Amino acid sequence: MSYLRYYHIKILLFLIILLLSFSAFGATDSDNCLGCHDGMKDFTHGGTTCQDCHSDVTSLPHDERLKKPSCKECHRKTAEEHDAGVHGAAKVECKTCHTTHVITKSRKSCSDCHGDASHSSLPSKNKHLEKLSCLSCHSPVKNSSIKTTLQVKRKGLISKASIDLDGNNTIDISEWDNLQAVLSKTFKSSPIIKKSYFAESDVHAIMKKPQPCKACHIDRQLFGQAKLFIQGAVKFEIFVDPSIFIPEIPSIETYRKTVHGQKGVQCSDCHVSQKNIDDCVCIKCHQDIRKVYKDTVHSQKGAIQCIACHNPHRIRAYKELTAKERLAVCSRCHKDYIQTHTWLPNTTLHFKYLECSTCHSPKSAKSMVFYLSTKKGDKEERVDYKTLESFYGKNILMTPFLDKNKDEVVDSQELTGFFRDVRDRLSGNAFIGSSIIVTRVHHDYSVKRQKERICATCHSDQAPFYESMFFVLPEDGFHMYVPVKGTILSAMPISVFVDMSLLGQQKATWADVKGLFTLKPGEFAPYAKELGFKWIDLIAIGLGAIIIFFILVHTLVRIIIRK
Amino acid sequence: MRKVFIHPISVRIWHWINAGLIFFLIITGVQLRFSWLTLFQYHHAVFTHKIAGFILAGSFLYWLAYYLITGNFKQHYIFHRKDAKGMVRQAIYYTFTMFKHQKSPFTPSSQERFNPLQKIAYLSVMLIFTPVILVTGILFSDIVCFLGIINYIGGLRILDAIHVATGYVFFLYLIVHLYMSTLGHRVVSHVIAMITGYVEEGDETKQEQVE
Repeated sequence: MSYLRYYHIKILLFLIILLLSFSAFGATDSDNCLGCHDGMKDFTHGGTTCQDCHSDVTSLPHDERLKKPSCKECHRKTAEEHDAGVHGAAKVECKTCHTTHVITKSRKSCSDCHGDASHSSLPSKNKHLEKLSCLSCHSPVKNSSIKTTLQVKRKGLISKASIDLDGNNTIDISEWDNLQAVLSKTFKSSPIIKKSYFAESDVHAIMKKPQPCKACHIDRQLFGQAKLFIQGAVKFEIFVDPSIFIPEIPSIETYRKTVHGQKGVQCSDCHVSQKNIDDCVCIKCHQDIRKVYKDTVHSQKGAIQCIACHNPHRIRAYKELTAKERLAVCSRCHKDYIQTHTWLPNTTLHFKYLECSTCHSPKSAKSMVFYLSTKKGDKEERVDYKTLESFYGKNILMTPFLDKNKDEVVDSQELTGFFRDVRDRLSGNAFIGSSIIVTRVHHDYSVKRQKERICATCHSDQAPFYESMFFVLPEDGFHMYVPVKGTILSAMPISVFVDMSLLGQQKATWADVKGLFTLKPGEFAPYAKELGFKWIDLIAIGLGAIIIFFILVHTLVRIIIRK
Repeated sequence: MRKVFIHPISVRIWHWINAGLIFFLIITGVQLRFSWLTLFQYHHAVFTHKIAGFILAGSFLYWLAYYLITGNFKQHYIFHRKDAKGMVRQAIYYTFTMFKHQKSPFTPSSQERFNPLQKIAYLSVMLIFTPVILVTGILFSDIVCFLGIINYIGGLRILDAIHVATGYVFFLYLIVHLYMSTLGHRVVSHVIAMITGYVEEGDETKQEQVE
């Protein structure tokens, strides 16, 4: 037993001596270098020793000229990225930025060398330089996002439902404007929404050319995702449309697709000088509109210039804009439009189907328009020409597929057939969307505070837009407004989801009743189909008449026999 | 002529509240459906129709609870096999035999208030049409909140169609109900019965009951 214990102690002593001898050897190694290079006392580079880089030192004293250490030996990937970039091409060495012998020492920042970078060709220079890091534009960005935060001090002031009005978990421009309006109304001093632009990139791979403007402003390769974080008493997060923070800029490619571009308006036609463009440029072509607009209250008090509402680089024919896009034009200034319309029952629901000028431009012509749409989750998307093209053939005209009898009017049977065909091909959740929009514009938007606020203006069979209904069909590069036969809302079968009900079009009128009695042989079946939901009224009125007739007869017999 | 007690006070109060609500809902409903009428302003019609609808929902729940708790539901409303024959007899009475001064094949009592025709009419109104119109009405009351359910049904168009069609059922039912209420021993016998609780009956019915 005592022999065994003695044996263990021997092994332990041997190990301790071995360990001490190793550390003593290391210490001696560094000490050997520092003996002469006493300026390297603070040397630190991860766990490396002098010999790891200066490997040609095999004995002391070493040669006077040593080989240049190669960072690549350890940092191969980084070095390759560096060499491929503009810094590599300019022979900028690692040690230019990094203090190689004391690697923990703060490295140089971009401005140490490029402090005089003028960025003279960068539009809104201060805004860009203040918000973004150099690497956001000058190196390939792996991940990027916009983070906005809002501190809320009390509960109940803001909820997800009060911000995300359409419940699709993304704040669009109109909802953002509404949020600003709510904040300025709810809080005495409007809380500031803090924004930060986060970009994860590699500092060593500096690109020869910076990111083009379109990477952020058109293609959204960078900062394509934005989120709002509500913090404090209420906590939740929600996506935000990034174009709210990074506006889309005109590109010559997109400009060519605009009405201005298509009609051959050249850049130099408007940009005659470096000065800002004013209405003198617009009235060269749009004098008639200016004549109407210049005396209106809207022009005198608010949007004085055409460009206050119209972006000349994004001009699309008014008919090409959806109700939502039209609303976004007005809400750029009238941010509080939801707040000012709380008198309107189901405010947000109304704004889903209307644009501002539906009410505020009485001289404009209004129509009810229908369109093909799909629903994926909470997101609604209009079916575009590209999709239809993939079903029916390249560069094909779509109108003949809808208006099959070529009478330039769509009836319920034509629309039902076309809808079912597209729905089957889409194999998705297709429906017929609808909105009430202006189809002939009059530029007097002076009408405000419509005191009458009469619901029956729209919610009645007398509503003017029932006389003017269109199906908006996507064609190659434009939308065709195909007139729709007025009975469509009542005549569409139950299997077709029509996202519109106004308590007007589904009611029977005397004309419908009269029509029933003036039918020629063979006309009943198509007439009955067109009546659709109106049969509810007609059957009820018919049954009522029969019942009252029997009651009268019954009463008469009772009187006669005195029962 | 003698009087038989058939309607307890709770039933009578419920009946008149329900009658008032349905009458008001039909009037406002007609205004909403036919906007060219000027009985009410549209937004007043919307508001009052909604409020009356909610009260009707409460009234319906009261009716349901009352009959379930008292156990009278089975007694007064459930359709028995014998009622099938009785239905035909009752229909023949209303259309022919009543004019020959014959007595009604059914005599109301506190044990069995309704004749087979009444049973089937009231049962369908209370268990089919009232729940349908209440549920569709509640969905209409907050379209934004219930949009998911509404779209599942087929959208506002379909919801509107169901609600209006059921509304018409109530309207037609009311016409018939009002006329039938005059077919008692006297023209006002049934109305008085629903006010006092006592229905007036002819002497021959007394004999029949004794038998």
